[in-house]
Amino acid sequence: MDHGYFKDRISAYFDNSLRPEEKVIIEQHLQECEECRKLLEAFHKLDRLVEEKSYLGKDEYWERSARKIEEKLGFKQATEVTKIASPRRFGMALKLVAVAASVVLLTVVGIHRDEIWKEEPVQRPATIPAGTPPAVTEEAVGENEITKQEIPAGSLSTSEQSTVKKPPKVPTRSVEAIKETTDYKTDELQQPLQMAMPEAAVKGVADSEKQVQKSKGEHKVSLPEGQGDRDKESLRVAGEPYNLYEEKAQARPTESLVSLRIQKDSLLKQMDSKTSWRDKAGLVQSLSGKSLKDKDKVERKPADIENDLIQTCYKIALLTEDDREREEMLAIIRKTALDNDSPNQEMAKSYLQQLDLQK
Amino acid sequence: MTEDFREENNPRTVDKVGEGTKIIPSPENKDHERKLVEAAQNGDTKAFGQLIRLHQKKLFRYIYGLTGSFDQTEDIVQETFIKAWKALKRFHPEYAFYPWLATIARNSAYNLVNREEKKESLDKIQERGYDPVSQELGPLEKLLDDESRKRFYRALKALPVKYRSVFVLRHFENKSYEEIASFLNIPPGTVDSRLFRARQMLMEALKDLL
Repeated sequence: MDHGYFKDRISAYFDNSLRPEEKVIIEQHLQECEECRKLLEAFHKLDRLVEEKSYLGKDEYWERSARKIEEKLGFKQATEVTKIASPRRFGMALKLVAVAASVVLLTVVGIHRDEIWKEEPVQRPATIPAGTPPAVTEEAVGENEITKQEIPAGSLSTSEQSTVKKPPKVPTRSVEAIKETTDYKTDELQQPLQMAMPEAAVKGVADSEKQVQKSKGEHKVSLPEGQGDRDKESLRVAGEPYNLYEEKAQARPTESLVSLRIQKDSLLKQMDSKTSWRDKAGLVQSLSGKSLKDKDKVERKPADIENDLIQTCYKIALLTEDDREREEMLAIIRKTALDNDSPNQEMAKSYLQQLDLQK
Repeated sequence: MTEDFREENNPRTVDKVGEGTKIIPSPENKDHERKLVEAAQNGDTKAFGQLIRLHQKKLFRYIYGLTGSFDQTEDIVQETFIKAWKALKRFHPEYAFYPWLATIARNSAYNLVNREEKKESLDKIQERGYDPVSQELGPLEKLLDDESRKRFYRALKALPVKYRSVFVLRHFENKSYEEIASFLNIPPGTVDSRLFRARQMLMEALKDLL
């Protein structure tokens, strides 16, 4: 038989893909032919080489890749925004100043707490300019917040779907019972008060809370004034075990009625400053077909601002003793509840229901 | 440039996700994987995240071997896991997860190839031999920490697609000649000869590593 025939069959023999009778013939030939034995040995070596050399390393790439997929799927539990580069412009000095300032501010607020609650109209501390929102250095998406990422219908479990739109929990009317914080992004709130209340200080207050609602969502680290886009670029999603995430999520700052009012004023201003938030929403929609990076370039969705506004108004309405102010807050929430085009309509309706029950 | 790794349209590969796909029971870590799959089916996103981490490398290698394009492979791998999550309820956890994923990925790769306009005719691609341009690995270079690994992938990429696809299906996916023949719509005898030729070409390119 032609030697070429045997040579051609060695490959199939190596793969154990020959018929039994053909296999016997090749095995007999291998005993006699050194060239074919060498060829078979070379196939074995190539197989080992493929096993070894096809390995794709760089675990950080694969972790990033996995996270990208999870983001696209709308998974949130394994992500946390952490800072990977320290700010060069201000550095440690700024942190120290911020911590010191926050300690002073918290002390002052603590001493004059009773006076602050009583005063009407609101008397703001001298260092806080009117319309300045409260400092919130961590954001946690509360249980009552509508998940904004698109999640494929039918792909979620019942428990997950229930977290998408859930009526807010009704806290008691004491200040300490307010556990939810409102989302703030630094690019729109570049105010001194944010420098005055760094993360550490807020966490210190939050640590005293014993019964904190569990929240799901991502943490965002806000930056002090002047550390704008450049530092935001240095934030990236990084992983951590789920249980650690939950522990962190429980450390949430307390809000005061004063800060809520300031926050509300700021949000109203932001709503007014948008020429047409519907147009802006249209822009966001038009970007939805593009990559996440493109979406992220949108500074802040007007619908999100509205969302924050009605949340804040809801909290004020719960806390305030002033019926007139409560009505004002209800009016703002009602406006959204009656707006069929608003993505926050359902949320606003549930707030109104809760406030109605509370009354 | 997208290379078509198939001879012609094969209806078997355009089945919807989870339907008409052959699933082989997994040999090892079966219990662990089954638990992950069951948890993911009950909505445990963390479990699904583990499944992504468990299989994405192998899936990437497979699809890269077929398409030869890093960017397209990235897209296909992402798309595969998204489709898998959506169709997870239809998957039976008693079976191995990877072959199911690989089938989805292969179909995605095929759909992608179909969507894109071909700048070259299939014949030209099929007949093209050594192509120095295709030796450029692009972003894949960064994932290979070893020069010999880079050489391996360069040599693999430089194979004409008709040889490379057979080689990848056999070596990366452990497919039988019959399965390869069925997927590529070629006779089993052609699988045999192409695989032999692919091996010869690779052995020649990498002889100093053997």
